[in-house]
Amino acid sequence: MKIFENGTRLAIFMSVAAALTAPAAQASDHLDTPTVIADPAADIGDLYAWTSSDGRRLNLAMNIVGGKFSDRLQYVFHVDSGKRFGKTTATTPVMCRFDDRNIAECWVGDADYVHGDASAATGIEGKHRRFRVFAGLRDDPFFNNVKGTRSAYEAAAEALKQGASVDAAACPNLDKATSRKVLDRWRHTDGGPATNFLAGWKSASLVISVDLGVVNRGGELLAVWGGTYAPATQATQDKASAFPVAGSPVDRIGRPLTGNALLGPLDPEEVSDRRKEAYNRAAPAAWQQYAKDIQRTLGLYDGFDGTCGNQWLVDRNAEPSLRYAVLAKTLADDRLWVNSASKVCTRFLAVEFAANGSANTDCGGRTPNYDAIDVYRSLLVGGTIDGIDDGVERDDGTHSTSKFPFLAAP
Amino acid sequence: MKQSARGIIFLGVLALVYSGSVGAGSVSRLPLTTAGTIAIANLDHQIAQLRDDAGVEALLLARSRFLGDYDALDRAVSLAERRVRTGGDLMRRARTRSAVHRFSEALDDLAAAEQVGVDTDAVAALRASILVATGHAEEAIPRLEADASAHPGFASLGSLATAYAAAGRIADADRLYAAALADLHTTSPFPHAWLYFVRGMMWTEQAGDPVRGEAFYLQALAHLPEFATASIHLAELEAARGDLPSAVTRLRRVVAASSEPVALALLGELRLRMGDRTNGLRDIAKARRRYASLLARHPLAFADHAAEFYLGPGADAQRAWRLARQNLANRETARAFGLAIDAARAAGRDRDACLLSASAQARSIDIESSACLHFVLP
Repeated sequence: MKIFENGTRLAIFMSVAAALTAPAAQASDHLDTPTVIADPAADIGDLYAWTSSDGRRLNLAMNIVGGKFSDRLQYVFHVDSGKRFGKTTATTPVMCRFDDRNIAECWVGDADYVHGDASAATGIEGKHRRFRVFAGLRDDPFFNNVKGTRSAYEAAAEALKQGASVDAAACPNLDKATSRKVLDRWRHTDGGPATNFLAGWKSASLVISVDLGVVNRGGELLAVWGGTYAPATQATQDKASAFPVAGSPVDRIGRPLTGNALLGPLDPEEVSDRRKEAYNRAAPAAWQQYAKDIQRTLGLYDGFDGTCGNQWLVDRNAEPSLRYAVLAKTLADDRLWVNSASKVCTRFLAVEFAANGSANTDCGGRTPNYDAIDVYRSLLVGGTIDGIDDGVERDDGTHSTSKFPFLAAP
Repeated sequence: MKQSARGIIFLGVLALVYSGSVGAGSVSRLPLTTAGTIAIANLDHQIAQLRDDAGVEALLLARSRFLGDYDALDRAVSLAERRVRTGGDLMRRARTRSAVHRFSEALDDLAAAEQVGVDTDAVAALRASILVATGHAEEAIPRLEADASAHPGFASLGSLATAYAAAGRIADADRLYAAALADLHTTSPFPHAWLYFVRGMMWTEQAGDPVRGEAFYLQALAHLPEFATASIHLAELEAARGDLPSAVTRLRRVVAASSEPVALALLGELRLRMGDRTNGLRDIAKARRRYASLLARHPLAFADHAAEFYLGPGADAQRAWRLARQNLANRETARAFGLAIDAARAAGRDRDACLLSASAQARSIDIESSACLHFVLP
């Protein structure tokens, strides 16, 4: 008997990837490349990092698009530390891996280790009590008017297609009507009130609360990024094993939106996908090579309000090729910066602001309650921390910054 | 990815390929892909997240294809049919229509998608796959070769391999399937399982090498033990070499987890052969009801499988003949001709069988026709 004889069947794998591409644009880091779209267990959605209100712990959260963690991947928080913004001198990796029942095995560098079922809200604590781990399904804290954002992009792209000029720094000269249209579409969904595309989304979430003393060896400024890695050999489940060797990188994240919004958002899909794949796999030493991609996109955002040259950190007097260089370089170092000397965490990018002359005492980083996306787009479009919004102000879940495991139950 | 790391993964994949190519032995090591149970849970999770939003159709089709879940197929078709506002919608409808073998309508959708500005590469890729499915692989091959050359990757290589296989170029197809597998840098088990499965099917059913085919089916199932169709094909081979208990055990697992009528029918046949008349007849009756239900909803998608059923345990040659003709009208593949000729003969229509043989030969399709010599053909 011959059961299947259909050449169209292979197309299913392309279509699985293609199907989700449209809503992917402007998700935080969700669904950013074909590789991770096809592999939801490898696809990091978001990363959060902030200090506890008693100043003793660093809280970390990473969620993935899937509802369960892979038994073949490593999930890693890299916590770099230093005394000055942009310069870190030490690093502490926090790694978890899982078996096929999603039983966790986690390490904080060489300082502590834990193995067990981490899915209860209390999580499990390391042998030396230096960290606590939760791993299980939680509400996805990210909120964004994805469809409205995509529609805004389409309006800008259409204007460019119709001949809107672009200045020497790649900033489009949008007329007032077009600019209004772009910003209006950003605030609406399908012409109506804005909706959160991720409302009701749940995701497998890895939450860690770790002693600051374990992760701040280089200094009080912490720079956090996350990654998923595919080991070349099967993980051994020897419980007292040393910190495992990291596998090949699959996905990475620092700040929200870097891959999805800054790496060729209007380029042909194949071009931007290739760039994002390379970005996800790049080692830290190679990150600055993406500053040029980011710089080009920064020019695009700068023009969305009809005014070129009013973006955050823009150098109006620089030659065009350097107008956005400072912000591009800052964003290419794609890490969430946390001032661990601070116990108050209310402002996205606070450490970056402090480093660029806006003194403050906020820890920065990213809590699950920041409207990071509105801050981000406001800075990129108009140079201020508000004013450009997507009409979605908060997530549908209520997340805590003080009560472990912080993210709302699904 | 660092070159050294990429090299390690490449070697790992090659090791899997070669361990599967030496014979029908056991799988010596577990694959470096996510456990099937987790991957399926994540697929279901994504389906739940997307609710009825655009894009969920492809995930539902994947569920249907791997797990024999025809409720998922129904939902995919239903969603795609009621949402046609954009070029993307047209592409999604083309994919679901193609999945249920409504090839002509799918091609219409592709033409419409092209007119509203959908990326021509995406349209051409799906059009080429439909050409392959409808017996026109030779027409699709130049386009697929150009695509594989311009964008080498598992998807383009796998599509070209499928076209080569359909055109009878087994060695070329096998080389490309191996290359496609080597290009897979994902821990998702689905694409690995699929490529091993189609490679196994090619060796078993086109090249007549069931030993090699079985090894690839085993690899597919090592990656995704829940893969219903691969299990059924493997059970067929086990039954053919006399290992009925193993085949029955495998089919019982499929039947318990899916609504796949092919598994029910084969299980019924094997049980009858093993003397279990009561359960055998019950399974065949269930298969008959499943086919009736599926044919009512997706007549073209199940015409060929149902024709085979009625030629075999379903024991209704006239119905098999009607279904086989319907299938042949939809796609003139070698298999469709072969099935129609078998059905014609079973229904006592020797002259029709000979006409079909002649028709196949006129299309350069190699079909046995010696029994037709005593007929005067037009």
